[in-house]
Amino acid sequence: MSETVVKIENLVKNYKNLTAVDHFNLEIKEGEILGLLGPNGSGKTTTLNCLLSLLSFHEGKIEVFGEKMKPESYSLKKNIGVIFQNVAVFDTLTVYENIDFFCGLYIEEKALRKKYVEEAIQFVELGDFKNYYPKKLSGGLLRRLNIACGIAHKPKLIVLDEPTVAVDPQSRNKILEGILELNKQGATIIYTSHYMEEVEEICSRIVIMDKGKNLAEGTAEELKRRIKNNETIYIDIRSLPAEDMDNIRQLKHVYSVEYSEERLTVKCDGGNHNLIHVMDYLQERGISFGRVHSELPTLNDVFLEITGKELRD
Amino acid sequence: MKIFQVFFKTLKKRSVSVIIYFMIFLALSVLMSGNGKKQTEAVYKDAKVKVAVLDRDNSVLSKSLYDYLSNTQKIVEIKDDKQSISDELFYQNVEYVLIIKKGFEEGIKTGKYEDIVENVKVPQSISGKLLDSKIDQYLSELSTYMAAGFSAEEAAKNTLKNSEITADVKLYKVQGASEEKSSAYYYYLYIPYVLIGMLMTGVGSILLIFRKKDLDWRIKCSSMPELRKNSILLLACGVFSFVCWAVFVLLSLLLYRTDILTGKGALFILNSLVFLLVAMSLIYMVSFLVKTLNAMNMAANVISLGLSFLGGIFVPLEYMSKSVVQFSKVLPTYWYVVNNEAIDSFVNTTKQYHTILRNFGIELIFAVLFFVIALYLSKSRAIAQHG
Repeated sequence: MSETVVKIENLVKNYKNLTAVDHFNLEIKEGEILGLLGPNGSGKTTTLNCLLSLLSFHEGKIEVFGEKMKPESYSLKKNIGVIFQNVAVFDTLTVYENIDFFCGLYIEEKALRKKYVEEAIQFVELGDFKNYYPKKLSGGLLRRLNIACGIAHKPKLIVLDEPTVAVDPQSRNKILEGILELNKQGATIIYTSHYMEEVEEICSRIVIMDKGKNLAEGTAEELKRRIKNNETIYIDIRSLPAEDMDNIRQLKHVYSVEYSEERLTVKCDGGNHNLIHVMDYLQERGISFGRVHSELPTLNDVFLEITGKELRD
Repeated sequence: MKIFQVFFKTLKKRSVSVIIYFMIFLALSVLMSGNGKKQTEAVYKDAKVKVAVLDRDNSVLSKSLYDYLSNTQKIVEIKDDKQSISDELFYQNVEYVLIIKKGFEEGIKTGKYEDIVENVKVPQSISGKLLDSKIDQYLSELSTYMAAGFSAEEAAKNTLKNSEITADVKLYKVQGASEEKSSAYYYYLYIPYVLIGMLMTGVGSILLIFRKKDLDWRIKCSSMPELRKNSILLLACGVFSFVCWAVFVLLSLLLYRTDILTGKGALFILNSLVFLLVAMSLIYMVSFLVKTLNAMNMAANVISLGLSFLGGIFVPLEYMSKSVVQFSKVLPTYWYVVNNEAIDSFVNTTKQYHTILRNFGIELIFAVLFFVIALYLSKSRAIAQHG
């Protein structure tokens, strides 16, 4: 059985009258990529800052690698890599010097550090830019430098706080591929984002957070199975009598039927081929229709159903 | 020692601005030390006027007046015609032409000496007016002797003798301003301005970079203990500050070797070293109060100029009103300046020695005070950030 890398129990963090993290619980096993998903202000970053001992907290317990995490837990910190939302590098140092500096905070041995720095540069594909100063780099390259600075010392636990914010699609894909590669190399990863597609793409387990609470957790499939909506069908129809709407509502798995602006929306709570039943009914009744499409549930639907609001602001 | 290296690499990137400051400050310091010295070289000196005497009487008394003028002024020989007089005055070969008219001696003897001499002088000449009064005084004396029954020879002899009597001139000036100061005094007077400005743009801005929240947190997340990080940063600041100070001391040795290689010179150096500690603490404190590099550059100007003007570096304390001086006493630069003056006028008395030591003590109290405030601000900041 995998070892527990991070254990957060009943974490409470208040800012004056605001409860940023509210009795939050989390356990992360070795080798996992855990996605912390939630809208802005949901408490993701605060939770991570508490985990890293950058912020104090009012209640609860945090353990990393089986030990209580404190600001002076330097032996634990040796195995943690952090990539913050904002790029945190020295403008006065080159790409190489920046990575060397941050790696040097963990690795004192010069030869080993040099090897690690070279590997990190290779990993984020910044070889052609290693003598560049950060101001000369594009947003995407800067993000990659930011990542290299956080992972050069080969940590066992990597915390990435929204690393793809304001990044072009190409750099974003590179970053996501890189995270998967780091995980393959054995690192446990905590990844926060409010981009559900990213989380769905790379995370082995997802925690949905809002108002500082852990609302649901599981794999993407598990979370989607948990909600009532299994399929949403959209059909363009000129006119639809009320009688037909009632009849469609009686079809198997259908739990919601709406018709507005010449569009029929049918929501189903089970089954995989609900569209065919609706189409059969319309053809039987001789109702002509235009464009037809069906959507499977997304994490946004999960979030919408759990919290009653959209994931993205 | 990664932090140490990064400190100096970052400083290297900012070296242009630091060097520019250094050069400007240095030029100012040396220039002002020269100017300041000239301004206070106030000594009493009797003015000598270039005067031409045209003696048309050729009497004993007219010769006596000539002798008097040749003793006290600079006599220039010119021709006795109108054109020559005009030319000599125009070309400024003479400033004053005295014509002793025929009947001069007779006029003195009868006491009617108002119209016995005539003069032509450069218009609005102050020295000319001064000479008028001197000649009037001389003629009055001659006339007095003659009226008292002295012969012309005796009257001439006595008046001439009296004119040789000089009085001791004592210039009363505001305390402190009258004494001539050494070059080292002026050089070291401007050091606080230089140190604060340079260190604030150099050290201050680097401290600010290290305190940027994201960078600070990234370093905090590392396995390097906080105490070690802060100690290395402080050490780097100390090394840079000490090197800056040492450069100034070496320069003072090169420029004012004779002044510096003395007991006083050593005290000047010690005073600046003590002030270096004040400046370092002050900059450490300010680095917690400002948030951006622009603000730090602005603070460098405001603080260095403010402390220099109010502390008596640019404006001598004796020219300040009492209330301003009272206020200045809460500034470290005031005590530095006061000590600088005490050192300059140091003649090895116990009282002076104690005054200098007391001033060192007060400067050190400022250094400790700023450092304690900095620690408090650091703690408050850490608490605020840590939540």
